[in-house]
Amino acid sequence: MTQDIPNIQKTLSGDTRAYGALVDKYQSLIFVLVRGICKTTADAQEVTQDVFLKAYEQLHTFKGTASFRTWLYRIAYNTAISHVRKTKSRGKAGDAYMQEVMHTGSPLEEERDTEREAQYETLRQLVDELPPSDRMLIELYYYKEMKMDEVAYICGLTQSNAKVRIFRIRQKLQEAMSPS
Amino acid sequence: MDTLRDFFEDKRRETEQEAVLIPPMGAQLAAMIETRQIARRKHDLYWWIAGGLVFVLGAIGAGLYFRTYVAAFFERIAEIVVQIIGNITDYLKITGTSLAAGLSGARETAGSGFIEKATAEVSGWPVQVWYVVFLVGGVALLLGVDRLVRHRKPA
Repeated sequence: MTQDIPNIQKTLSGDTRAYGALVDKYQSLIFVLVRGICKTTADAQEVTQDVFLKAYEQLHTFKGTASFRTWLYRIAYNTAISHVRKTKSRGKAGDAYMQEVMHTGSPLEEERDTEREAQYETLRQLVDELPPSDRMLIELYYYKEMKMDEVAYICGLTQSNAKVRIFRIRQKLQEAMSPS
Repeated sequence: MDTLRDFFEDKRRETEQEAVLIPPMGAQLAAMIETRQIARRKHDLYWWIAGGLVFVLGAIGAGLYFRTYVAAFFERIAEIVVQIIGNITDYLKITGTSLAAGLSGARETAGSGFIEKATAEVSGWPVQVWYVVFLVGGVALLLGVDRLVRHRKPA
């Protein structure tokens, strides 16, 4: 992400438009990540905005040891989790998400067969029952092009700890999915 | 477990479709940050002005109220300053005299071996000279370290 460095430097020297360009570039990625645990789209949009405001405040601490994207993800992870804890909306998040997705009626939904749909519904409920940090962890793990060391950095864990936790979450989901 | 992977990938795709519909927030956020910064600067300025005024007024008020104590306090300060300046002047005078005496000693012993002369000379220096030498050396060392730290190249 070396192409971000000029914009980061401009932002640090007071150019807010350069920061606007960074926001435009990463807002979708951050939104997708936080949407995973936020109750509604509006909630996720609010958290996304908070993430970028926090990132702006902390930009001087960005040392470039991780990529800017990973650094942003770390802020997004902490912001989203604290938001969920504050609003305590996670309990109902699954229902709201389900309803919204059902009403959206995307082509992907229509193509799914009923068996798969039932399986997905079970999974959705199981994932919604996970604590916010575990839920983010598993979402990050299945996020495209995300390496384990990046996942560990974002969640503030060691690589081995992240691996163990992901293994346990997957095992838990697998056990709950398998017929008794 | 492919079902899990498929589930999360489908979920992500759905969320990405949602993300596409969100208008870019870069310009809006930049404007918001600018507004906040202006408000913060104003707030800080008002606090500095108010704090400064309160401090000055408080100092004036306290000075007037406790004027006898303040006068005594400043007199004591003046005494201490005069005493310190006197001590420093005496110290410098003694150091100057010692250095002058040492230099004349060095001239008198010229002609014999250099190392012997230098050793005799250095060992004959009074303690005040050593203070000055170590003080200058210490300051030079600190300045050198400071320069090195400030001018180091990032890794």
